[in-house]
Amino acid sequence: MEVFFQALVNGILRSGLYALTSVGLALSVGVLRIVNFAHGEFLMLGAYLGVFMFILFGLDPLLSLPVAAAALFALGLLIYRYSIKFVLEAPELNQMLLTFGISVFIQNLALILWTGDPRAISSFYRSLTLELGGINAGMGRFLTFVIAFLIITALYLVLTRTRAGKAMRAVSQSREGAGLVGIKVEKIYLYTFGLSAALAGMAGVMLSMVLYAQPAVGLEFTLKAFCIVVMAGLGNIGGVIWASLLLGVTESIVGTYVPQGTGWSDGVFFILILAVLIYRSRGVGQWFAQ
Amino acid sequence: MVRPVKPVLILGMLAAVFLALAPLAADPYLLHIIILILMSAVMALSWDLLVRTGQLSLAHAGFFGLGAYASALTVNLLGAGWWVSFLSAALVGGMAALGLGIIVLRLHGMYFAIATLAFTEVLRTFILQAQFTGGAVGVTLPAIFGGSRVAAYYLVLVVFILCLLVSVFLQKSRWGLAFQAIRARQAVAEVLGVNTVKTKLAAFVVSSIFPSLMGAFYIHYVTYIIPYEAFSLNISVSALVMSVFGGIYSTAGPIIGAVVLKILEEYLKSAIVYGYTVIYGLILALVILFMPNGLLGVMRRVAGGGRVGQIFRRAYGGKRTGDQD
Amino acid sequence: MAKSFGGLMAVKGQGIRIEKGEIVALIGPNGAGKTTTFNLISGLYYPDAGSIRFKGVDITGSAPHVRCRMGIGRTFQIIQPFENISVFQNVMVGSIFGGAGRTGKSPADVARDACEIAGLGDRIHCMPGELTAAGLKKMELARALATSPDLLLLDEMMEGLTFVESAEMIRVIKKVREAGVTIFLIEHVMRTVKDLSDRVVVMHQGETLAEGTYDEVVADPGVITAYLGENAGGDEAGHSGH
Repeated sequence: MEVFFQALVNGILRSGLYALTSVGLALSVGVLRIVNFAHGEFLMLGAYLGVFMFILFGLDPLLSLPVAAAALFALGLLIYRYSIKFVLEAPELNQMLLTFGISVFIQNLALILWTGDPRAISSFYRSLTLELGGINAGMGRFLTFVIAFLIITALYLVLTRTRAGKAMRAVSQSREGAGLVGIKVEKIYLYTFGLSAALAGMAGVMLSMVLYAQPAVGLEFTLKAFCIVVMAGLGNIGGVIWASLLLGVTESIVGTYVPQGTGWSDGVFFILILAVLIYRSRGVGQWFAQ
Repeated sequence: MVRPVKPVLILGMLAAVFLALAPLAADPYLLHIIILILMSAVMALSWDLLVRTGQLSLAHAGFFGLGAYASALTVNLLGAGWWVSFLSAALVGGMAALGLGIIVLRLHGMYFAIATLAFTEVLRTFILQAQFTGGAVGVTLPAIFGGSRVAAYYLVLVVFILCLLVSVFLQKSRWGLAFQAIRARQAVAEVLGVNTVKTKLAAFVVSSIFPSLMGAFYIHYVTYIIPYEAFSLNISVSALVMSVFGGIYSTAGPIIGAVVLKILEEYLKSAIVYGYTVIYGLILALVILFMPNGLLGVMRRVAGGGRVGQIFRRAYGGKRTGDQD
Repeated sequence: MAKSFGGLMAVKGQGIRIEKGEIVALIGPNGAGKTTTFNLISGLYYPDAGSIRFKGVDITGSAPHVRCRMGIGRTFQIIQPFENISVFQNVMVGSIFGGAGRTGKSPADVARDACEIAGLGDRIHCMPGELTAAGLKKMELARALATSPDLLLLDEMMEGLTFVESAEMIRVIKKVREAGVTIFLIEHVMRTVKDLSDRVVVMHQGETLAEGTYDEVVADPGVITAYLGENAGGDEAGHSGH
């Protein structure tokens, strides 16, 4: 039973990072109606930023968070301004190919610049462990969960309480309607994309705290985030949290109980993606098929 | 289309003579490069077959790896000859596409793309974890035709010609019309009597048999493969980028794209060992932004003399196919 | 027959029966469920309850292409051309996959006949993007005709047409009926409804409100309330002034 609770706690802690990444993707899919295959690459860049800030300047990862948010926000704006913007009206195929191209480009650029070797930070968060009733939680993992929770809460408040947030939600409901009531839709798109990248960047920094930075890590997170967003239903932030919990806990339990579990757990995850897609497509599919 | 027929015919005949006689003139390294180009052309062209129905697949790597393993295991576990192993690769690839297609072809756009990516990852996990596949160590085979590069060349040439014929047939026949209708507006195509499920399934199966064959060829030619290489996303990426770069929805486009990019890739590989795929990402993004119809689109515009030429043709009521512009 | 979208009942409990050789008009305010009804008949939507029968066969669960090949053709209100192929090839899609098998003629002949009936003339080798609104409507009609329908569903064929153009369209539709095709049409312009239809079905909020000849229906107090309730003011006058 203790093993089970340990697995449960590990899964819950892991889900924080998933939720933070997925919320960003949900935002760009919901508002811009574009699936960004490069979302995971933003996270990967955030992770490297965390690593290099620590190695070069001795900056604590927690202090790198705002740096990563600002840097990725800026990168998001640039990418939107010089590429995404031009395919908003293009066929979905072109949109997918463009963001896929950006994803491949960033990932392989990282491979050239920083090699494929994983890089980790040896910060003191790793060595500390919290213990309660026989169940352990790494300090780093615990912190990522708490911070992810705080950031998502902040995002929720921004979306529901501020003018800009309300405008974003209006655009995600109806582009035309939002335009009619005087919302500058183009601007909203720009900032939403930046914000989405910033969220992924912060998730990346925290990834470097508990795991490592590696060029290929982005793709894995793009897929997981996509799975979570689809599971949650487009534009449903509350759903993203539940779906992240479900995914995190499932992964952790499979990893604990299935023999050679860590090897198989990826496969299980992708079967889960397939199942979710097929189940969800009944409703959402029609929407996209026109 | 009276005008362009002649140059195309002459070009095609020249290419045929070149391909038939290449082994006589080329040194082994050059022949190796031509083999790689033909393989890429088959991968790109077969990827295009499915995109003609409007579906973006990232499963090409999955079928490539599946074909490689199916043929290798047919040889190693059953002791079969090379052609039996090729048949088994085509069969396994085709059946897998049929099964997967029935499940996921109802998905559209990004949902389908992600599902096909997930399929590839599931296959890789399975091959890595299962015992009989050799796991992470990979599989080895004796070289095909006793290592004769010329024989291998003719084998891949045959598959290429087969793929070319299938592509032309699908373009010219009623299947091509169905593809275009589905791609433009699926619901309308259905109401006009097109069996969209059957059509897309057929396109997916045909489009998947060729990468399976290429996987089988690759392991026989290189004699060694590991799961990370066999199911690498880069395989899907290069097929897709070559196709888009040359010009999708056509037979010539993916072939042109494969020739140009494979040569570029071989050149770059000597400069950048890891991460040369960076150029594929860059090209993909730039092509979508600046020439969404690919090289073929640019060539047509130049050949047609730009706007004036188009108006000219239009005024004379030339019959135009949907692949232009 | 019923269909709901996420809790919103779009069509409910209506029973519509169309006899062979009739022209029946389906009218009603915006959002009454007319196009949903067409989607249910042509198979793009499946009903949540109830059944659809055609030529005595239950087709409730049949795919759209099966219904097309059985003889149900339709047009779309928002014209949806295959932009990537020529007008004639657009029509060929209908004849090759939908109707040619049942006529004994070659698909190309069927398509040519359909284009001629629809009055496309020499425009058949254009791309759809080069056609006018009226030309596109004709192409839409020709595509549906090329499936050799026994029942033809026409969704707002007069929308966006000038007076002269819609007069021509009315002539074409009458000609199609004379060839033995049963027609079920959605129409906003009351004059056209009067001109064309043998019988009128009025829908309101997903239900059939009234049914009968044009004169019977317009005299129905329920119908008048439904229309005035929905489109108060000059909207209706605008329509009849066409």
